[in-house]
Amino acid sequence: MKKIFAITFLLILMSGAVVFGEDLTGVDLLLKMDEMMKTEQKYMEEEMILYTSSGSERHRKVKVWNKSTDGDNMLLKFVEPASVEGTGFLMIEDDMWLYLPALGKVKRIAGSAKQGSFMGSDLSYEDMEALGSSGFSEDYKAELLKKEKIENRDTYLLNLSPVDGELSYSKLEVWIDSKMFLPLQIFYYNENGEKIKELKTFNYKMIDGRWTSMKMQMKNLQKESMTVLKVNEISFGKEIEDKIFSTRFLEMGN
Amino acid sequence: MKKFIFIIAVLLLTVSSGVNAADLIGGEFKLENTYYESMKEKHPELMSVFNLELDQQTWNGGFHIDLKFSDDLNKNQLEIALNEAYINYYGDDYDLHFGKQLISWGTAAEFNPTDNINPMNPEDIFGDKQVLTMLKGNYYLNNNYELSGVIIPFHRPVKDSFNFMGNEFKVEAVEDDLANTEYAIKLSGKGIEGFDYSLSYYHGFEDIPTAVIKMTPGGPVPDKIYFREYSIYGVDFATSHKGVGYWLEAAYTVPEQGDEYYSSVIGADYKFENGFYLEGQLIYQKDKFLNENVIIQQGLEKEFARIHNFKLGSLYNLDTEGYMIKPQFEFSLDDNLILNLSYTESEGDLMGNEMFNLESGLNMDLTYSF
Repeated sequence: MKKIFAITFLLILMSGAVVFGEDLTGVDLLLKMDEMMKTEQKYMEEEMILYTSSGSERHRKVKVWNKSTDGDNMLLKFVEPASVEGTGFLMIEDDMWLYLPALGKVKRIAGSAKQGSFMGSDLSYEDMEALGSSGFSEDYKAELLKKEKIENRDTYLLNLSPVDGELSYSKLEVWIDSKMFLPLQIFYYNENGEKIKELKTFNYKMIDGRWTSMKMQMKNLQKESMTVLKVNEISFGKEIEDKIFSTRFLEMGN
Repeated sequence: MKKFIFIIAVLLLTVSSGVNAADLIGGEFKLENTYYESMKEKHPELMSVFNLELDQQTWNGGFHIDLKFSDDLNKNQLEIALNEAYINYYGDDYDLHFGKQLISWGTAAEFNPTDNINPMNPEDIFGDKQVLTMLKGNYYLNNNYELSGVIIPFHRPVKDSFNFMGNEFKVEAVEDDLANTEYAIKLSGKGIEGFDYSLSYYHGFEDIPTAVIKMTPGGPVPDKIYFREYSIYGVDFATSHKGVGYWLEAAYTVPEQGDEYYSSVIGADYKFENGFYLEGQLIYQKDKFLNENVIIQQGLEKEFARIHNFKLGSLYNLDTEGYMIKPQFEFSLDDNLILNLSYTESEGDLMGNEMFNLESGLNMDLTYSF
C-alpha cells in the first residue's frame, strides 16, 4: 500500500514538474490564465471592503452578473449598505449606464468614467473588466521573465506591455500559478515606471470545474488605501438570460 | 387621524404578510440645519425628517411605500405625509406601475425640459417634485427599445392662487372630469450604435396659472385665472465620444391659448485620470412668461481621503446676470452616516423668473440610512 502511495505521489510530482517545465511562452501562459478566468457567464455575490490611509473601513455588498457570449456584458447592483442600496451599474461593450434610486432614472456614463475608480474602490473600471470578463491577452503583449516561487507556490512571472497607448498602465508584472493558471499577484506601473498598485489573490477553490480566487486585495500605493473583495457566492453554470443586461433590469428590484 | 390609521394599517398588513421585516423596512433619518442671510440674529432653521420606507421588490413585481415625518424643531410642528405608494408588476415584455409616484424623464443634469409629469414643489423648487397618483406602463420591444405610457387622472398645480398687484386671487381649478385626464407617451432607445435617445409627448394642464387681464375704468383687473391646457413635444439624446459624454434635451410647448414656448439644454461631461469630474451645460429657454434666457451651468466633483466628496455647482444667467455658486462637502462618517455641509451664494434672477430664486445661506445635514 505504501508503495502505491509513493508511486502515486511521485507521478503527481512528475506531472507537476512536466507542467512547470513545459515549454510555454508568455503568450501561451497569458492565454491559459485568461481561459481560466474568463467565463461565458458568471453570477457573484461579493463583499467590498475599502480601507483608507487613516484606517477607516467602509463595507459594500454587491451582486454581479457577467456574460460574454455576445460581447462583454455586466450588471452590478449594490445590496448594502442602506445608503447605496439599489444603485446599479450596467456595461454592454463600451456603453455604460448608472442607476441612482434617488434620481429615479438611468443615466448614461461618459467613456472617461473608466479612468476613475470603480464605485469608489481601489480598482478601476479597466481593472474590473480585465479581471472579471475581458482578460488581458487582447490588450497586452506578454513576455515570460522567469519562474519563481511565491508563497510556496511555483509561478511564472510575466511582463505585460500594452498593445496600444489607450490603457492606464505602462506595464504589468503578473505572477501566474503554474498549476491553477490563476494570477497570484499583479503589479501595476504608471507612465513613469513607478509601481502604483498591487493586487494579491487568496483562497482558491475549484468551482464548477474551474479554479477561482475567493478573495482579492488591491493596494493603491500612492493613496495608501486598499480594497478587499470577498466572494460570498459564485456560480458559472447557471444560465443568465440576455435580457438581464438591459436598462430595464438595471432599474428593477432583485 | 386618517394618516395615522393608514400608517397603522400598512404596518399591520406588512407584519401579518409574514415578510421578513428586516428585508422590507428601510429609510433614513435626517437632521437639517439651515441658516439664511435674511434670518440675521434669529436662530437657524432646524428640521428633523424621518423617512420610513417599506419596499419589497423581486424580478416579478413588488411595492414601495414612503412615509415622511417632518418636525420643525423651532416651532415643534410635526407633519406626516405619504410620499410615494405604488405597486409594480413586471411581465415578460412589459411593466405596470400604479399609485402615487415620481417619474423622471430626460438625459440632462438637474434641469430637464422633458420632465413635465410631476409638478415641482413650491417650497423646494430645486428639490424633489410632488408625487402624483398615476398609472405607468412600459412595453419593451426588445433590449434596446421601450415604449412608455402614463395616465394622470387628476391635475395637481404648483400653486392655486395668483398674485396681482399685491392681491391674491383664487385660480379656477381643473375640473375632475374624464376629459381632463392628462397623459404622456415616450419612445426611447438605449445603446443604439452608442446613442440613447427618446421622443416624448405630454398633454395636460399647466402647473402655474395664467391670468387674462381686462381693463376697467378703475384699472386692470384679472378677468379669468386658469390653468391652460397644453401639449409638450420633447426630444433627448446622449452619447459618449472619445471619453467625453454629450447630451441634448429640448421641449417645445404649445398651449391651447397664447404663445408657444420652449427650453433646451446641451451639455458635456468628462472624468479626468486624477479623479476630477467636470460637467457643463448651456440652457436656452423662452419660459411661459415669454422671458428668453441663456444660462450656463457647471458642476465639479472630486473625492478626497478615499471616502469623502467635494462638489462645486454654479449657475449664471447671461440675460439677468443672476448667479448661484454652491460649494459642498460630503463626509462619510460611517457606512450609513453622512454629513453634508454646503454654502449657497445666490443673487438675482437665476432662471429669468423670481419664482426660481434661491436665498444665500449655510446648510448642514446629517443623514443616517437604515
